[in-house]
Amino acid sequence: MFTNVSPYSTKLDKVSVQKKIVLSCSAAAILFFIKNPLVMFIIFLVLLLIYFFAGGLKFLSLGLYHLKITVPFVIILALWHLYLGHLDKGITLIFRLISAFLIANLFLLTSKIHDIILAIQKYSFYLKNFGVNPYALSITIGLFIRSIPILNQRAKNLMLAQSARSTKRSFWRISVPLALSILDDADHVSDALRARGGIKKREN
Amino acid sequence: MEISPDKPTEIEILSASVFYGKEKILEDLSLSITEQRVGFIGRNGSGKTTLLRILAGLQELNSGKVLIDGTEVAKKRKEAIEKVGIIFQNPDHQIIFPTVGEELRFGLTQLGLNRNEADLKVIACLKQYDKVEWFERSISTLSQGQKHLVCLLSVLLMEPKVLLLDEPFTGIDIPTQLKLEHYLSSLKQTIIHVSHVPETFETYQRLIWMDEGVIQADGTPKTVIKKYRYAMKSYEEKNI
Amino acid sequence: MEKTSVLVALFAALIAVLGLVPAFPLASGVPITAQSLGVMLCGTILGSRKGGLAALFFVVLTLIGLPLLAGGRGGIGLLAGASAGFIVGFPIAAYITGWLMEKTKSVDILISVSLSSIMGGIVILYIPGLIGMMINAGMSLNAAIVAVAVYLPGDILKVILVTIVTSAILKARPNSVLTRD
Repeated sequence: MFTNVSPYSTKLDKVSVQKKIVLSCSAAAILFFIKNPLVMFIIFLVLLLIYFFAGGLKFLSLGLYHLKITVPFVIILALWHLYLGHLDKGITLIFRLISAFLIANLFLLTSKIHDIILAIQKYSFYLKNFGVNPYALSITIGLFIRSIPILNQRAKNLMLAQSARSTKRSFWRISVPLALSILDDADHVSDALRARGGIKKREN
Repeated sequence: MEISPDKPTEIEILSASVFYGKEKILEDLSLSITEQRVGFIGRNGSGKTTLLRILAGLQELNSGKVLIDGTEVAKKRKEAIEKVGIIFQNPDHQIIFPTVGEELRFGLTQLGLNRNEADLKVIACLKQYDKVEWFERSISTLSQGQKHLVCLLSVLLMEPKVLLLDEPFTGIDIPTQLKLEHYLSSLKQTIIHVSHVPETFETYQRLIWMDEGVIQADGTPKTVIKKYRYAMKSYEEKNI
Repeated sequence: MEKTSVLVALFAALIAVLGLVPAFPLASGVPITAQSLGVMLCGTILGSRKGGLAALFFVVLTLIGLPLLAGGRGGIGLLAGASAGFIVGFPIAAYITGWLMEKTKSVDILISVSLSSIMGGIVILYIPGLIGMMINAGMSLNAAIVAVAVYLPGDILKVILVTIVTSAILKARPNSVLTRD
């Protein structure tokens, strides 16, 4: 889950995470101000070209592959706007959606998740002005990532245990034991944190 | 078994009481420890885990004090973590971070080192145990025994004077257990080890048997184990 | 401080793991997922502040790019999709659910939880959900309501489940339900 999604290296890999986040957020934001379907379509084509220049045909097809999650909504948009006769609006919205994902995925496919997390931790000290303790944030992020595989495995184990005793395997039945286990975890991990000094309000 | 000639650490429990609501877990317990290898044995619910927690400074006392080399561990946390480290039964309850490197580094950054200094120490430590490639490894790829080792190393890196072990070998296979025991036996710090398995304490200097929050026996492992075994048998016969 | 960090991390992880439960993708493009269940639980168990924080933490990390939304979705592109409004609404829903729980402390737990999760997890959540749908699908309010109404039965089921889980936890670990102390 947390290894680099793209098996291909691209020219954009070396660009820093910070720059890429700023660029992709600004680019995505700009998208929302464009109302002209033709302009939106051109942006889409430009993005495809960027993918091509970054990593060739293979990378471009990878980028297109990652658009598949937009397909259901795109179909709905297409049908809906066709039905209403608002073709231009439909095109704008469809290509806005696709372009937004292309921009976001460009960032994700050229950055290691590990680096993304490091960047968050590094720049979180700006959040001090908002009353956020950056050290606590680091720990929370680490704990969060470490907990996902553990909770997932636990949920699977609970389902297995359940299937050993009944023919029905429903997620819903395991929700109470799962929730209880999380609360127990919270106690233990708090202990483990305090045993090594707890969270301090200090510079890292 | 080699015992270090360094000045022994003084652990003092002075009239400690811990209540949980109306339930008395520990009442007016006093104990003084200067030995290097001390064991606590007892059944589940005997209060030995609570005792360990008050020694680690994690448990608030309703009355009394716990001092390690003069530091009141519950109140002075910064000094406390330099003096005492604890390893819990289940590594999944103890490991906070997703990779070995981050986990090992954490205690050191808590003690005030910056990231680079901490990383250097972590890598040196991993080298010592011949596990340098573990630095980037994800915790979820480790076996239970390997996770236990990570927990042990993460505490050892903080160089505490006292190491508290809460049944650390639960659920590990014998070869891994022997390996970990081997690492432990070469450590210079005071080790206080809680277990319900008598054989663990054969080479220890002092064994304390606890039951129902009270010290039932305190002395050499041989004598205490005898009393413990006898009591366990009679409990079984009386069905307690 | 530690407790907050730990609870935020764990409950955010719960929301993430609920996203791994297989979802049924539905016609209007927003798959029915179990994730809003996690969001409601953040509110009912952790309360407004910590619950809202946990949901916010999850949303920010998802929008940055971690593939945490059901179906392995993540990234800023989500803001152009069908679930955009719901995603943005998660922290608000958790906060309001928690707030209502705290205000109904003295009321019977079943009523308190169902009321809070219906208001927070459905009524309040659907408002940004509808707005998002309207903006991103170019639908009128009425059309958006129809599109989104499909999730109502699933969400009612979630409310029931949240009620069961929260009251069970209150029984087993009364100190852990922070909204009722």
